[in-house]
Amino acid sequence: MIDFEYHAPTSLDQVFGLLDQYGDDARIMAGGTALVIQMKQRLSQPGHVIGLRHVGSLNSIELTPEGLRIGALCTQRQIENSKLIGEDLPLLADTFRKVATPRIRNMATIGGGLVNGDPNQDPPPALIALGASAVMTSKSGERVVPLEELFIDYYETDVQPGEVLTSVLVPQAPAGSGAVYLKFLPRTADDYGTVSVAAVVSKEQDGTCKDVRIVLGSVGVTPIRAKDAEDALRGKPLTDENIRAAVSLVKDAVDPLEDFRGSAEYKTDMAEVFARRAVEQAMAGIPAGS
Amino acid sequence: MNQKVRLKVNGTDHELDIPARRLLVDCIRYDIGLTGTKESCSVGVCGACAVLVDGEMYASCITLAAAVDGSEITTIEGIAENGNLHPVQQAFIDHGGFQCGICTPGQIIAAKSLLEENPTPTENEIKEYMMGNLCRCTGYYGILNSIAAAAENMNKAAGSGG
Amino acid sequence: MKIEILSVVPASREATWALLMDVPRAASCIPGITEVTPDGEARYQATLRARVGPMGMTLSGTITVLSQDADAGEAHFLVEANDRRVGGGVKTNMSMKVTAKSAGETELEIVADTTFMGRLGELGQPIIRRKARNTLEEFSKNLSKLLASTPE
Repeated sequence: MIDFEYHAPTSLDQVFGLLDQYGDDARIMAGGTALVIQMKQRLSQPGHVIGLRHVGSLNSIELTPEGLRIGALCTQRQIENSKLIGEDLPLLADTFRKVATPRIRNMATIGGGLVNGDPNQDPPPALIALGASAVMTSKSGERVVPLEELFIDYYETDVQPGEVLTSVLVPQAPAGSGAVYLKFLPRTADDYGTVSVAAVVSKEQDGTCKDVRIVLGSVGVTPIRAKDAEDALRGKPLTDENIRAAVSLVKDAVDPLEDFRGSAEYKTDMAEVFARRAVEQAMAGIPAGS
Repeated sequence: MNQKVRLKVNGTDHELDIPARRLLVDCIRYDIGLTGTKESCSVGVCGACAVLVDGEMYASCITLAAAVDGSEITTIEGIAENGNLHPVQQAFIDHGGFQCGICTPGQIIAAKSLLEENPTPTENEIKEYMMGNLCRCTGYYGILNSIAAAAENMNKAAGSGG
Repeated sequence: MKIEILSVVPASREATWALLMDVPRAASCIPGITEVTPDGEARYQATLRARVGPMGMTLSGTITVLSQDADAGEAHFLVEANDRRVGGGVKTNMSMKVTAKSAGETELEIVADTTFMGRLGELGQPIIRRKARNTLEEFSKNLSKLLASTPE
């Protein structure tokens, strides 16, 4: 690693001051699981690292009438084990449980993961499917960015200079909905998914699809929401035929990068397969009598 | 540039003057001299470098020592109790939990951390928790049996303590 | 890595050729390019700021016009640039061909044969290929925009 200076601010104001002072030459570190590896590989060579570990009040989980407010420094393990989240939004707990290993989950944070912008990560598809947003705080105030709009390109997010992601807002799941996150892991259990799909499905009394969200990971340079597939299913009866017709549109929405997990063609095929399974399993999870 | 880093390692206070880029694993092994913790994959995947930071299992190969300034670190050298091997250590000896030994410090730290969080894990819970600790020698069953035995012994001891 | 781009620009063959031969002006259409300055006969120094994934780079180097044939509408360039600090570099053999489609439309064919060196080579073919293609496509679009706004 190139030599650098490590700063341990204890308040957000101090963080903003450091960002002001060092600008482009500074990187913020939350859990460090992504940043330290990038620095070891010299993909990132900041002269100043601003650690958030001692900035208080960024690691609480609150339930408000609008939904969950999760502090950016909550570790993935904290979210996985949170009783509050397990009861209120089990999809989130399930998704975070699937990330890497318990050891990494002790260190990695929800905020750090989002700002990293890696399209292969597990939390973003599930969070986007739930309609989550990120609260970006700077010394001039706050702005709320829907997570769908946060990811711009491969490892590139919409975080502006001087901003810190301080919390993630997750709305309540729609009434009478089922949600699932499927991670296709043909290789080792601690790997990124070859493809992954988060689906949230709600249905009307007569069995037609009231709303559906299908978001995929590991199939492009950012998480991808299959809007055309969603539109094709919304308002239609949730029959096998309609589901299959809708998810066939997923293939046009994705643009996977080939790697050792599979070719672009294979991943595209699997995207459709797992989108269908995700919709079916989400449906199966809809509480009876909804 | 060097920075002051304070760490309490296995109960002993250390005040170090080290570069910001010093990784915790290197700090433990070279600056402090405890070589029980191993570095293997260097990217946090294999578990050989596992230590406890304020009681939580961390990958010391991707942790900056400066980032955990002020924390309590527990390494493999620090888990014996009053000169007696920790029940997990004893179980690994009694039930064939290691062969070459390189992954073993990390395995034992992870197992200890598991049993503190969940004293009566099922076989699946043990596997899920330990999935981040790789071993090239044992084929894993020796490790699983050791952990199961350690759990049983620890619960018996706790039970008889009344 | 070979990448081929075919596009149609809204200008005459003459105007398109003239722009391509005005290297500083044409190069200004490459996203991230700064400072293109002449450095001898048919050579230019240039700097390109680019990002691939987590890595930001400042590549500096030379653009050399290897050959140009106005009648055939073909030109060949050599671009060599590196970022010493990051330890990565690029070497591209680029050929461009203009063919008139109509009085006001020209077909522009760009073939870039590129080698990525050092850190860039490590990032993995698929993401590099994608980034290279995006850069060339944007170059092509910017050329079109510039030609559309330039009176003939």
